[in-house]
Amino acid sequence: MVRLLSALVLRCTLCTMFVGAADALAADRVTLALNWKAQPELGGFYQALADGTYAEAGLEVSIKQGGPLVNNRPLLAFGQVDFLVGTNLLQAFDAVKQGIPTKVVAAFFQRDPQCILAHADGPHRTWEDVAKAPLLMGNAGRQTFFLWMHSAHGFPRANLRPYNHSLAPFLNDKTAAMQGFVTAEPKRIEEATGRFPRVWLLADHGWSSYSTVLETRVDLIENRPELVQRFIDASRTGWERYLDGKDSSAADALIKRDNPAITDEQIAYSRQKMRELGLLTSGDAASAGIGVIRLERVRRFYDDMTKAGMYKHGEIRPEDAVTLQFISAQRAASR
Amino acid sequence: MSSGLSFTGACVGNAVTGWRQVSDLGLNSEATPPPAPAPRLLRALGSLAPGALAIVLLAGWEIAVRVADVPQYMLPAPSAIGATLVAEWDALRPAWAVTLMTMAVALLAAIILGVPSAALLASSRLVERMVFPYAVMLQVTPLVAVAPFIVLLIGWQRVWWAQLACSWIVAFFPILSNTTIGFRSADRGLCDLFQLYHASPWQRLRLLLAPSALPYFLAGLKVSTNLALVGAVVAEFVVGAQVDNPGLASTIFESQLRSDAPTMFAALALISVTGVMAYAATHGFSFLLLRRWHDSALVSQP
Repeated sequence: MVRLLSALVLRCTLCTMFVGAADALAADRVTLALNWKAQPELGGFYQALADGTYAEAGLEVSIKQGGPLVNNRPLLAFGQVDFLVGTNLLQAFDAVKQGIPTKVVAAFFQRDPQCILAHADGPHRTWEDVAKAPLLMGNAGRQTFFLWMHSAHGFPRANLRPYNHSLAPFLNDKTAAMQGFVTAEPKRIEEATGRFPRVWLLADHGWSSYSTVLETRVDLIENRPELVQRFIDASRTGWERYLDGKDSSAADALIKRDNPAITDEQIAYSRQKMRELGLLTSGDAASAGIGVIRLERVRRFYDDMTKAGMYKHGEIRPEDAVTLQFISAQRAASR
Repeated sequence: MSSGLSFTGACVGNAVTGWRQVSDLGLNSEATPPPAPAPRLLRALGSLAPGALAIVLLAGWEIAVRVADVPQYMLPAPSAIGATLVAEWDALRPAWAVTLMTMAVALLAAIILGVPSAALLASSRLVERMVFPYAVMLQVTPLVAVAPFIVLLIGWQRVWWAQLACSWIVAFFPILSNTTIGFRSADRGLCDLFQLYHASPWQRLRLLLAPSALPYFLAGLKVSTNLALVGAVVAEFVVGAQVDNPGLASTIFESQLRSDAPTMFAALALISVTGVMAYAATHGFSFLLLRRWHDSALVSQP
């Protein structure tokens, strides 16, 4: 009933908009592809869609979900979607390396939610300890942040174990550690075992990548910069409102529609963690606002990854992977 | 019992006359003139045709990519893929070896377990009815769904064995089902003949059952060989890479993740070459075994 009402309200707002503003008729259709299934960690985009922020910005947005067997990345380069949520900066560096004309235009998570978890009653108590644990990690993690864990913190390759987004192997072994999102997996493990696991956030140990970065094609940046700007601004507003949580029921309903496995408890936990850990709002974002990119951080992360052996020194210019045209600490300060 | 005996007795006559008929037929077919042999030149050209088609296709691909100016990240040209193969050979070769090894061992295991199981299933309708549903379950269960379970069963310390098990599951069924039908298709008349002459079980197996099952087994083998390759690659995707010895699936996964199309196509090229080689090998093997006596492998004599 609530959903029906909110849909009605939304529809009425849209109607008045169509009647009131002529330019709303010419709303730009854009598609946003996600890097994962609908989840609170992508809530800001759903918020902007659900509460009409995108519509107010003259955007008719459709969202294409990702998932464990979905790779949305090629769709952006080939022009089938207009915006893409990227997991971290590495793939943006790879795009530069491969000559793919896409760039990061905003960085929503200032701190990557990626974490390592171990059992509360297991033998591994510290970050140094957990390097000795058998580590459940999927292919993507092995090819990205594990390389850094290995080079910067000496996590041995021999400890890697397969991970397929199932908790079972972890629950089965008290000595195991696993990868996870700090906003989700601790809760799932608590639901399964009754105890909160030990959690180490990679960002606390020097992993400096932005996460949930927004990428788009260079041709859009060059030919429709105002459209890109509108999309970024609306998404920032969406994120602010989603984190605030006072009026996010419509966004949460959309998330649950797209991904019925998500529960209200998980959504509440995730939002609480995003706020508590300042995942979106700490650092530069505290002063310059959500989504901000700082070039020094991009360069530093590239240097770290070069040390981890992912790139040859000077192979690419990391600043080519991003543009500060739409959102940067300097711009925000001068505003 | 007495009716069974008289049935056997009736069959003996049939079997003997049937046997003679078969050999008569064989003589007759030899008596008919074979079709005119193709000229030597034409046959030489024929043996070059597959290579020529490959060259035409690759050249077409190369030209299309260059003319349409397709970006390399979308579709690399064969020349770029070849260059990547050479440049990345030190990384690709060990990965290829791992995939080949998984494929070969899985196929071998499918044969070693498939043929005796087929003999068992063929020995009794009851056993077949009891066991076959499980064989089918094994075949239709999506690997993606059971892979984590297999890893748990086998133990995460032995990832390669889990990959092997997945690859084996895919390769096992065609051999099992084909060979079962093969054992079943031994000529009834000859069965009775062997019984009449008190052939030992070994003679029965060696001279009657094995030859009649062989063409069916070989047909299953052709399917299983390439399924074992597919299985070896897919298994690595779903089970996860081995830490020390990643195979070609890891190469593909990593190059997809890193938007590195040339490397991905280089890995795919290696898989394709493996498949074509395995295809040629099983067909050659099958031809060698069947050419003297089985209709499917008979060629017109020049």
